[in-house]
Amino acid sequence: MALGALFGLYDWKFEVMGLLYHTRDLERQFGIGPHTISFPRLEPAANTPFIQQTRYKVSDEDFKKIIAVIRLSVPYTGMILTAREPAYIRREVIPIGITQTDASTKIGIGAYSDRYTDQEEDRQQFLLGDTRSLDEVIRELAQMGYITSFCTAGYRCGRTGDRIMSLLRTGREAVFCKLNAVLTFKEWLDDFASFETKAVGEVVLKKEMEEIKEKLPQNVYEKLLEYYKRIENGERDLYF
Amino acid sequence: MKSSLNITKELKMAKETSISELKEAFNIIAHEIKREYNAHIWLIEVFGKRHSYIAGCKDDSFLPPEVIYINEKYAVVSSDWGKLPLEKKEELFSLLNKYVNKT
Repeated sequence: MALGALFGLYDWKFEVMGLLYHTRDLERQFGIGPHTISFPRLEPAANTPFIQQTRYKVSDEDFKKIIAVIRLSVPYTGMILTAREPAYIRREVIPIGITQTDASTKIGIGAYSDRYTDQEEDRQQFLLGDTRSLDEVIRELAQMGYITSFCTAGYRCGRTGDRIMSLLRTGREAVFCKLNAVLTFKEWLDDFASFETKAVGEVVLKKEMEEIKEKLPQNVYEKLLEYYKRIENGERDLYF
Repeated sequence: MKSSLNITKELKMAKETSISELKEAFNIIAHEIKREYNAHIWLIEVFGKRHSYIAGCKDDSFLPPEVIYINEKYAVVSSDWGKLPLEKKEELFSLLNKYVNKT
């Protein structure tokens, strides 16, 4: 289950407590907490003066506190930061503990068609803060030293429910995440990246591979290397 | 050494009963298989491409998982199939097949 609250409708401290109590209740009732938590802020939109006038608008400083509190309180959960937020905020908060984000995002009606290049306030629910392409965002993340993962392996081999909770709580899921991040990032770089992004991405991949070689058992590293080479040779969708 | 693992007994207890009893029986089987062969197995429910954990081991050996389908609704996953003797694997799937096709 994914949890989230739209921040800006009421006191952010109350909303954060609500999210955390909901999390505790899920853990108590079902033994499984939220798969992800998201914390979108209200954004400017056509014909909604409330957004500009509300006294509950969340400042950038408070937004960073929200992210830090959720990260520390629910260390196993995925944390989603969307393209609602401008690029400078994304740069600042990703290192605090964001795990998932989007890019190349369009929310207007028909906005993915070639006719629309810019955001149009009257054709979309609100205005996005970051309209950069996926390639640009991934390049920036790679320049910051981060690998981008496109992994969905867990859903295809039953790493779900209380099984994944057990792996997350013990930190073991991070091993699968790292291995699958390397493989899926390699696929993406080979298939879709611009020349510049591929160059930066390969540097990050090399660093990650070295870390895996150093920290994980030899047989796991050897299997990763085998899969990596098979992907280089054109195979797809190999995962741990 | 003769194996003390009795898959037939565990699944006989679960037959003609509910999915919760299958889960309980599978947990015992998975625990015993791990103890005897150091192989991690888990049972999943299939929802198209999405596979949802039902019962069995919650840890594993960080190697690529192999999904073996019992029918269109259930499958068993492991990264360690090679550690399990063929006859035990066959016994497991033969009984699971009989069970899940009754539910």
